[in-house]
Amino acid sequence: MKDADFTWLADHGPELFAKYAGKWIAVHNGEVVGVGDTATEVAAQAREKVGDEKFILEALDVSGDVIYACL
Amino acid sequence: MPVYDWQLRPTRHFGQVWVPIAELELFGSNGKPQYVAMQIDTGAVVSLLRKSMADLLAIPLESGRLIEVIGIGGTPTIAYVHSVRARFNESFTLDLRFAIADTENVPNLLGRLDVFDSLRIVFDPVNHETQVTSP
Repeated sequence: MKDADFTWLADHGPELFAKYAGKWIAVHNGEVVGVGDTATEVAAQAREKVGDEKFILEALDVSGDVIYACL
Repeated sequence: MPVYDWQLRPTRHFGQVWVPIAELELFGSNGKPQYVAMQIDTGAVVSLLRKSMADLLAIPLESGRLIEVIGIGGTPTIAYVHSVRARFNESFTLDLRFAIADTENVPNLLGRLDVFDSLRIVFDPVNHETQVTSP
């Protein structure tokens, strides 16, 4: 069972990182509907555009080559 | 069965690498769900969220148990432990303990606690996907 927007995120990872690295993004129906520095800011943008419909948030970390463990 | 495609991410020194990501539906204190994509990190004891997720989920950050989380570099970050209801693709619902940092300068991570002892998680490097099933 796969979610279409999640699959879209996976399929477009490199281009999303090229454009939005370091930012939170919101995705709905294969479209970026919010970009910003916090989840709240991006969710507010997404709600303005899609109302109560589902959207996914992701923080595009720039620490791709950092080994990070939460101990 | 939830199946999550891996994501190609750029790195500074190793080019693009595949990263296992999961999609979770998190339920806040207000009962409102929010879908979030986060990296699956088998090296993390506990799952980790950035500060703004607490705001979004209407979780009073500092009401949780205060802890320090430490990355490989050894720099401690203040975080607060909260139990957050999480659903995996409408299949499994668990109450997960999250360390919610007091900063945005941490990655969102799905760690081992309450996750790897509750679900069978299979990393498939051939198909670049993660399968989540009940044990």
